[in-house]
Amino acid sequence: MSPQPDASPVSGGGPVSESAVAVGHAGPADTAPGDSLTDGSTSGDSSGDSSGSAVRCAGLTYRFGDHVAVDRVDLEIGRGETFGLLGPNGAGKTTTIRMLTTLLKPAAGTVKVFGTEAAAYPMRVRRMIGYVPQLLSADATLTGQENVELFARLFDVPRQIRKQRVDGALAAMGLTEPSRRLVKTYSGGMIRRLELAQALVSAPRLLVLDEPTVGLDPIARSDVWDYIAGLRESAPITVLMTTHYMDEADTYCDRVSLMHAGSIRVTGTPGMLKAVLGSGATLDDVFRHYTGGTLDAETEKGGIRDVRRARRTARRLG
Amino acid sequence: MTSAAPGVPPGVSAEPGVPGRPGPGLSGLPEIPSDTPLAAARRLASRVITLCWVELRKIRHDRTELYTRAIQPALWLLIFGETFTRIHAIPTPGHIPYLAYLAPGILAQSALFIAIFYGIQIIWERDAGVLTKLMVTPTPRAALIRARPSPPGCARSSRPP
Repeated sequence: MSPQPDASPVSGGGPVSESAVAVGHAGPADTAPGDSLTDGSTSGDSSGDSSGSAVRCAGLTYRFGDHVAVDRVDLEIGRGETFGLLGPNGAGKTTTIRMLTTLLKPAAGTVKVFGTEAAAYPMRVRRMIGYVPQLLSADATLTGQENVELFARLFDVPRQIRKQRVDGALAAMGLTEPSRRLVKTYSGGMIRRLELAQALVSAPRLLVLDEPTVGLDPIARSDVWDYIAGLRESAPITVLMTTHYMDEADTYCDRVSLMHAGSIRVTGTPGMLKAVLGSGATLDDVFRHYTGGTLDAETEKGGIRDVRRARRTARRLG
Repeated sequence: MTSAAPGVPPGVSAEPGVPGRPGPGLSGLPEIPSDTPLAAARRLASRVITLCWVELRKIRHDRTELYTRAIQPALWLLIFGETFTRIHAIPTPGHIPYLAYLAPGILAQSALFIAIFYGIQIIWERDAGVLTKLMVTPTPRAALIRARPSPPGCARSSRPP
């Protein structure tokens, strides 16, 4: 059950994924080994975005019937940034992410991912995104390796480099050893890492993590984060994530936004937000400060669905 | 099989082309083509093939379903078909054997059941969140529907009962 044994042969996630990625950088498969970063940022953009932001939402709105789930959200995420979207259940985080990943069409407003409008060119936007949903959703009846290969195929990774990529993604997440086993036999933490591998095999420019550590035990949690952090160190990937764990947001996010009742209440670096409340304040205090009071009355709307979802996740884990 | 990663010291090019590197990674992939009908059709075909591949892999890992699906047509053809052929209880047009009369219907029935079953499976996948994840990949919605019943359907109904 413990994910540790799988991580042990690679002596921690950070170094291995780093070296692996560094190697991949100069790999023969890449057409432009030299100036890869700028190469990537120019080749991917069809409509030249001089703005330089990875994600830009303007006036984003979504309604479920009469209930306004997301209310005129403006959001800007810089390239290479790790951005945290925080907020209580039912705040609209997941809805925002679903619009960002082209799963929902916004009722009003626009989403641009690397300058490409999501509503107009969903296929192009999907190509740039690696998405890890809230639920543990790797296919249990396939092996880990097949799960990742599926995504390599879906993203048109050319046949010649496919195997290489798949093995690389699995290795970067410390899953080489169990990759031939059916996912049924994986632990929760391993499934999460497998999902990360799935998201990464297409070399996305934006990684979207919807509560990546929900339902995981503390060890698996820190394990997953080690891998994400190692990945970030070695590649300038933009990460957008939601979480309920303030300590995670504090440690791993460059900037966070606090959402409540469909709108963004405050945005800034964790340090900045804490400083506003005075010294000694934690991000928990910040959370309470911006969402407190009205929390009880508001959560009920999104509450049941969230609870049900969490329970489903728990069942899958248990 | 090849557990290259664990033993390999850092720096050795055991797994080149690791993703997470946005620049080279993307440039290694073909650009998403402009949404011409031809490109869209090709993408659809390629995705259907991919999803079929997945279904076939699943059958390879777990064949029980293949067998359980084969039971019903086998039952019909072997038990009922044989029996009614022998006793000539049911009049058939042109006096063809009842088995021959029955067989096409059984084939159609199997295909229909498999299609229904795989249709239901899409709902399960939706519940499990797998479908959501597939929908965030550059996969046309049509492929998700189209791919489901075809390969296992073929695999199963082509299987002699």
